[in-house]
Amino acid sequence: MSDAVTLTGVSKSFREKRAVDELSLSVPPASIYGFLGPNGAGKTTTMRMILGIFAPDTGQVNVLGVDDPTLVRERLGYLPEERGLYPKMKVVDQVAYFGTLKGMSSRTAREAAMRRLHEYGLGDNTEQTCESLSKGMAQKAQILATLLHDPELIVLDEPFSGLDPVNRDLMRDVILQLRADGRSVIFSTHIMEQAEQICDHVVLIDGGRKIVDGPIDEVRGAGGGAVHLDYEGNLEPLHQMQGVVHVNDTGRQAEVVLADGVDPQGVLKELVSGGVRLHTFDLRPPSLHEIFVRKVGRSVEEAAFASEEELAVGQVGSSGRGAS
Amino acid sequence: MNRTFLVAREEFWQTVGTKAFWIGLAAFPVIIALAIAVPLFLEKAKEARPYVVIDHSGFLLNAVEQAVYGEDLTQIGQRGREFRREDNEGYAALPDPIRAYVAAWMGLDEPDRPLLVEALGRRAFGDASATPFEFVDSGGVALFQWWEEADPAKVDERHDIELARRHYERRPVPADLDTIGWLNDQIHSGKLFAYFVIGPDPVTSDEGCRYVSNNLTDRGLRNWFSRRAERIVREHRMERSGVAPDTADWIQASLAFEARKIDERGDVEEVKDRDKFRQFVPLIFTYLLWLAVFTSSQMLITSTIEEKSARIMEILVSSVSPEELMLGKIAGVAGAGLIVVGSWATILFGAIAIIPKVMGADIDLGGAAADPLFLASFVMYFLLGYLFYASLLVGVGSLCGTLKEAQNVMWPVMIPLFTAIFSMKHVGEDPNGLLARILSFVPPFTPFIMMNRAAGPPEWWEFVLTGLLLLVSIWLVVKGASRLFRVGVLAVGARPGLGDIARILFTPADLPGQSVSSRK
Repeated sequence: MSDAVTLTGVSKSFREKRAVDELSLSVPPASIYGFLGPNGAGKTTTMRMILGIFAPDTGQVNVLGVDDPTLVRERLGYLPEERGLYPKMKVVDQVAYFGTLKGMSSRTAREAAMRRLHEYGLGDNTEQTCESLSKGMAQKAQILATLLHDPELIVLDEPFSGLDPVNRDLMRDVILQLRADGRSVIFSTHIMEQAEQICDHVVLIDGGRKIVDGPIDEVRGAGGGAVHLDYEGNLEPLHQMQGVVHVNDTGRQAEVVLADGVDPQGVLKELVSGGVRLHTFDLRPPSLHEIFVRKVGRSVEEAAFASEEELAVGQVGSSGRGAS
Repeated sequence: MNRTFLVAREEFWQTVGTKAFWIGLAAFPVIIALAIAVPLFLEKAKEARPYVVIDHSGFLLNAVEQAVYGEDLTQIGQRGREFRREDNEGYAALPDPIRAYVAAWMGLDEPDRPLLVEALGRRAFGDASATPFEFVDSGGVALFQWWEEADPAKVDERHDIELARRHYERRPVPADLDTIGWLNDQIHSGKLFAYFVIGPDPVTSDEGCRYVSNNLTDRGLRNWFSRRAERIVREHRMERSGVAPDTADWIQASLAFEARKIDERGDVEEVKDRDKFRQFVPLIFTYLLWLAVFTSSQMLITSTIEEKSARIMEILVSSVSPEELMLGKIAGVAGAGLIVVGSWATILFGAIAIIPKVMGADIDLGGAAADPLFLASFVMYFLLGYLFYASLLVGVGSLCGTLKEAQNVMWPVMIPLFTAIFSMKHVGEDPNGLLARILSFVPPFTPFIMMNRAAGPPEWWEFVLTGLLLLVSIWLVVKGASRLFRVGVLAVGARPGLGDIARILFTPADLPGQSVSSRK
């Protein structure tokens, strides 16, 4: 089976601002692929090129084996970060309408919409107008409108942002189910922990450029060793310790990143002798967050802040939403 | 199914499905009815203006009154004849002296009737000399008495006869010492509308003639009275300079050019009322056309911006190309626009069928408006004009985030739209004139000007050529608009300036719809 998506040297600029720069990657079939990076890294622009909303300035976009994504629109599903519903439209009509735009007949779309709405617990709300739905219900309706036509490739832009906890779990289950059904899912996030939980493959992007990509274990494994702690006490002495590259301390948990070949036992000794009370001491590959920091030299949050400032200068009156 | 059609269908139902749409539709006949009824009602409800005349000449007021009596009698004679012809009930309801008068009036030959009226006037205002008309002696006194005592409001209501007093009611001058002071008080307190002072010798000069009122905007009374007084004074002047009364009449007679037109066979024919209305109908159509184009374009802009602010655009453009989306929206609103236009046309035809009957005019307005040329032009130019302006507006409007922003960038588009409406009167007066012809070939004006010229009507080649020109420019506008739209629908942040718009229009398109692989 060929790759669901292949990008080859793809670039896209908006006026002076280079949103995506010589990006190449492949999304394997039946996998969950994470686009990771700070806000303004070029994730949305890349997704829009995959969907055929933008054409790249240079490079090649191959989606589902075709070089023009607009030809396979009906096989793609897209949930943008900015998503809404027609306020005055009935829920079932709304979901069915998006289905017909993806090539379903009016009747099939309506029947499918009814069935899905019932499955997702919105059976009592099908005849309500969209504006009368609660926020959580509206989010559900949006998700199932995206999937109504059983797309082969699903592109989700920041799918977890703004979701309530119940819908966040629902979204995760939906993504996992899609993979189980043999479909490919691309989703973007700037929260690394989410990607770590469900992604098979990831690409880390910053400033429109690829930092690293590949299967998640490979990406993390290439970063050397790290120790994860649940602790009480003072980690200060660790910072000075030989062989410790970096400490990501969040107060009660910490990630201690080690240089290649350093024995974790030394760290354990140092902690115990320093009077730190340990609940867990866990050897794991470094987190994606750590990988990002190591490759880029700054944290995701710092990078996002910097690129938003650049955007503010570069995007005034520019075409499209620019890079995000 | 075709996606453009899907978008169009959705847009149509979204537009038509709102209460506001139907309220707007229902409001139109109400507004039309009010526009006709309110002025009519106000005219009827207008109270007679009370005035006073102080006559230092000793004859002029009397002569004016006599003239007014004569005018009323002429009117009553004509009205009575109509009653007699159409409706005997109305005739039977007339008071006895009037019926007797109408009978006498109708018994005379056409040229003798004014002479009867004059004789009745002379007798009523103090000239006892003999007259050849028997009715002056038999019924003259009763007639004059009726005229003096009748309540003009009731006469109007019952017999549909408008006596001159209906509008201007002369009050007697009180025998006070300080007449002028009293009158000024009356004017000041609003009890009196105006008073006239006639100088001692108006025939020689207008010295001492005055009109006093606090309302100088309503010139009706002043003109009404002075025109009559002037005519009498002229007669006296002629008489004084030795011109015979017949000669005087002849000198004063106006020179009327009777209107004629040439029909298709080249024959000269009379101008009927319906011909006059034929000139008038395109004006109504043009105005409705303008209104329809304007409101439909507004609906389109509103829905585009709502979709942007409801954050639906990005979902839509991942399923349909921006061109399909734009054209679908334009088509959907056009459907709603056709409903509006259709309902207006229906109402208009209804009104055209009813109004002449109500107003008693003998005009077949429906025939003029139902001319297939007008109807076909109307529908065609609505669609073309709408397509032109809607594309232009939706292209520019799609770049904006809010309606307020859109209104700010839309003004350059609105200028030709308003120019068209300002030129309407001139083009209507001279439908085949140079200005009308030139403007017909300027595409933004073509739909309105050609509609406006329909009474001309323009030559067939003008229809073809201007139509082609318009189609070409619509094609260009749609092209340009879809470029703006492609960029605009996903744009957020600062509103683009004219420079940005130009840049988008003239740089090669870099968005979907084209094969990506071909653009390595």
